[in-house]
Amino acid sequence: MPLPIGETVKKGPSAELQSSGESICRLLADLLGRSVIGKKMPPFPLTPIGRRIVIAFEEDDGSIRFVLVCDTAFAAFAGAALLMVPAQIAKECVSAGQCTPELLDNLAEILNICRQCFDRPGHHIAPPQLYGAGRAAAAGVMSLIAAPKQRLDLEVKISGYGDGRLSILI
Amino acid sequence: MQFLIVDDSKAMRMIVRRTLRQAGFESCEAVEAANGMEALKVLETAAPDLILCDWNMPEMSGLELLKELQNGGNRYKFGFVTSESTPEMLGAAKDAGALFIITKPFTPEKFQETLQGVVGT
Repeated sequence: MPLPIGETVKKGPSAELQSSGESICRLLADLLGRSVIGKKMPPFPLTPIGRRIVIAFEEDDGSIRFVLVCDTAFAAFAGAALLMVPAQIAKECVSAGQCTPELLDNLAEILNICRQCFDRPGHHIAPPQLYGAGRAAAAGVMSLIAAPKQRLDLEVKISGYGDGRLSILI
Repeated sequence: MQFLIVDDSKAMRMIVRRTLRQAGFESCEAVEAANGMEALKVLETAAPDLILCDWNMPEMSGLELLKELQNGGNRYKFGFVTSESTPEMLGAAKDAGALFIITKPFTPEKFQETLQGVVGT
């Protein structure tokens, strides 16, 4: 069933959410050892969900703190850049619409580190759950995707690899 | 000199190896484990000069590994390389006997500065 594409978002991203987006790009640049530029974009389609990778970040009590949704390009380019896998391999994944398990593992590690961009005193975020590539997201995650209170959509350019899309939903 | 790198992410184990080389430890040997249980098995035959360990891992976490080693009369130098950075967790690591905590992402300079005081070069 198609999901709404941001129609339910009542207002634009808060300063805090925008700041978290900037923090993610800075952290990616540090981690990947190359230029990473994030550009704010209009909401991009989050469906069909099978072509997106969904990463849910929960607090220790199980409540969902935020969800990231990225396209295959972001996943492949970031995952490849982490270990300097040749860009051509990542581009082949983008063409096929599917990342290799190795690149997905790399992406999971990258996003695990990105947790710190959302740190808030007294609210610990557990290592993230990655959905996609045949693994369906939990109902609570799908509800948040369908009706986020806020979202920030970025086009992320990873130098030497390419551009991908990343949405932050809270 | 030998390091034991414990992390459930193969990518991160490779990055830690690479960073050790960049930090001046290029002639050192490194052995790996994917979680605390695996690390205990490795320690049956290896005697690393330093254990560099992640926090969150399946089977046995880094903190559980450190406590297990302490209960068995730990003789290993032990530090965390982790994305955990809350004051509570940093305190728990120090209380359990960790010598240092390096937060991801890290740089070769951070490794050099931290490890020099622990194992020299």
